[in-house]
Amino acid sequence: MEFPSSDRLHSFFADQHDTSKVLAHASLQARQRNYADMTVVDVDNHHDEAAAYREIIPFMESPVGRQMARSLSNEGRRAMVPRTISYEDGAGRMQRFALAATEKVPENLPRGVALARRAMDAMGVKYACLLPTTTLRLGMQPKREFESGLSLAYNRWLAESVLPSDSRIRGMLYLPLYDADACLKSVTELGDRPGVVGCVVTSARYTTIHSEEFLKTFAAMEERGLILAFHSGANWTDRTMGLLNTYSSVRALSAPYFNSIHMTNWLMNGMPERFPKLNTLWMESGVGWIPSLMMRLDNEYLTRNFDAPLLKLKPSEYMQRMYFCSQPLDRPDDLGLLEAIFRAIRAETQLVWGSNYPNADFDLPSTIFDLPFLSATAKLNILGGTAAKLFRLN
Amino acid sequence: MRLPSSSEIHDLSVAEFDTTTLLAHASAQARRRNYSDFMIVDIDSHHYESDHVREIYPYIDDPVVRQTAQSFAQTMGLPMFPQRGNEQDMAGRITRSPLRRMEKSPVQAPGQGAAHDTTLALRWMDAMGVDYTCLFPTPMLSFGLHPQVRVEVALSKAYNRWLCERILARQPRIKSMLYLPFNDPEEAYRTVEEFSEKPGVIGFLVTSVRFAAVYDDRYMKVYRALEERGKPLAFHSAYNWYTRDMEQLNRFISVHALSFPFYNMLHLTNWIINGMPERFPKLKTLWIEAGLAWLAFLTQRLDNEYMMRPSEAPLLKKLPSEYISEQYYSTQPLELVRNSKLMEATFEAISAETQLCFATDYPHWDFDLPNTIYDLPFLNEQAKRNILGGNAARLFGLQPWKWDEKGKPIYAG
Repeated sequence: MEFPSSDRLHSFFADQHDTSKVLAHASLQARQRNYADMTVVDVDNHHDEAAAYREIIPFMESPVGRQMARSLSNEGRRAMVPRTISYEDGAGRMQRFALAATEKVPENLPRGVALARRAMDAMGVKYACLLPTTTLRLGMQPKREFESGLSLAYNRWLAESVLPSDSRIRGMLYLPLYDADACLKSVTELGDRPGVVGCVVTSARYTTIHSEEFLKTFAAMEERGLILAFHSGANWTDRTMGLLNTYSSVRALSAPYFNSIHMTNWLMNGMPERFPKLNTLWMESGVGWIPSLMMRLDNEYLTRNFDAPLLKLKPSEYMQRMYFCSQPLDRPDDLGLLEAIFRAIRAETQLVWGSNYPNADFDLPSTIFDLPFLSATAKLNILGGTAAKLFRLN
Repeated sequence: MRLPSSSEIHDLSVAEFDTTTLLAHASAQARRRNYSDFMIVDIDSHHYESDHVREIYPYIDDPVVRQTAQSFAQTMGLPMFPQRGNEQDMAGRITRSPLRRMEKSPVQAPGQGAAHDTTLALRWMDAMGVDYTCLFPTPMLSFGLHPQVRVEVALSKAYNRWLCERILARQPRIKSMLYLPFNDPEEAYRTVEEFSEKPGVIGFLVTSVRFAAVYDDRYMKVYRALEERGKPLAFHSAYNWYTRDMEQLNRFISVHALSFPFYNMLHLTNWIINGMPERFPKLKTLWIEAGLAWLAFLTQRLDNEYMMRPSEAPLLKKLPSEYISEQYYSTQPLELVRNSKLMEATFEAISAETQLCFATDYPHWDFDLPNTIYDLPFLNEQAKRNILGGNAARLFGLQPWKWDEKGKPIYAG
């Protein structure tokens, strides 16, 4: 494949992709830092489930939905999942997107698992939680029955075809958070399957997460010890985000924006008091947004606590008990600022590392390991110890 | 190509596709109704410019947008366009949409997409008996939602140049109203200046799916430039599922029913209430692809509001409905109402005999044939001919394109 550049001279050809080669420096880092001596857990690794839609679609219950999905994916257009404008591959600068399909994998493993294992080995990761990629855009699908149908199919495919194939892989069930019955069905049917560690809500959606209808689902998750993860992302079709004119701007603001909305609803409606044993995990928004929201919500709460009658503590105190995924880790020039953020969110016990590989802005374990202000214990916890407890890994 | 059905057993396997064969019944209709006696003008048809981005992108001026667009198309196989959920082909039932890439033409070759599209357009025009068509793009109808104004400007300009050079200049039966990058009024003005004299350019187009106030002062020089040059301004509607209102709808049919008329209603209301017809009395405006039923509603509603609150529309000298009946409208998709009296009344309300222009919207899923108009029981022969071609010919100054030895025009039908 030709990768065009600004002129012919600088364009180049590449026909093969090999994750191990792309991540050669990551392997070197892993050896230099002796990750073999610790348990590194990647809580946010993505598989390209859309490449397996042909396998997933037969798991859909509705014959109408099945036919629609087959027909719409016929030309590889994946039109059943809403598209937003994105330049994720930086116009060819990151070749792994265009070349992903060329990578060869052993035939005895699901492709997504084989590729994930390769990336994990290169990065020095022992366990990884696989999350979907394209399907995360389903939150914007106005045809809601389609979100329910396709996500249940994804969940069944995940539990039956993906997770049993590798003891190092974990996964989360996708919750179609418009359809309370479908959410509950996924949890009760598949929540106890081996390898299922929680449920993921795609944050880029217009849903009030505290609605009464979802309480049964949250209770069912709490009973099973499943984590509730909010995975955020870029959504340029949003009216407010549409004011921004570069993809970088949307990436910077969209993920923390949607997670801030859901976090605020979660707190002000007393969900941590109603589900005290339900662990929540907030993903792919970095860490910078957390302390600013803590301060802001505390301030509002102290002046207007009548708006949040279920709370017994300040919002920030609940947030200090939640889990956050570090990626993409913010990088202030003044590391003292990052240290203060880590202290505010109790990073030593609440922060978990995730790579977000193979997406554009992935982090390696060294992002955490090389932070000068962290103790050895803190590094062990953030890179894997905390997640191992959360995921109940042995 | 394999077209999936409800089960693998019923899947279709299709080896070839040909527009003329697909439209065999349309040809038979054309002969039976003697369309050879008069001129038929189709003011709204489409091609898929997204099939030819590799030819269009080199026309982009802005080097950054050009490289991004070219790389993105090549590496990710995607156009740099806002993408709409695509359910138009009804899960494969409308086969011409997925099969179009299989159709053969003698001019088919890499880099010859424009010639290929021209050949296909002439195929369906001849089958239906259409003399002239006004060709529009397809995914670009959603360009108004592009969050990067710079990209809308660069891509539309490239498309306009490609269209003018490669299609319009070479085939006199194909015309177009060129895309105005309306999110940048200054660039929209430059588009009028640069292209209005090009062969085949019969007007300019605002794609209605956008969040722009058409009365904004920044657009006045665009309208004046069009008025001075005698070029009509068209508003072509489409749908947008991703708005707070439309997201409440769970079926494509519902969005299609409401979103098209909604955007044109919105812009026409702004156009009338802000007195644009008084400010640009010689500028002809044309409202495309919203059907006609919405006009019966809007004429009544605006008149009623205006009579209660005329102070809010001080530029108007007559009723909104009177301005509405002086604008031009496209027929498609003509509502097949149970009660034809309603339709007849709508035709009367908008002075259809002089203001209505036939449109196919071919090859989109809900296209109309000329018989949609020709078979209406309440129209006389003259009215039918006006709507099918005469009104558009007058509006755009179109002459017959072929004559016999005696100087008598020959028509496509």
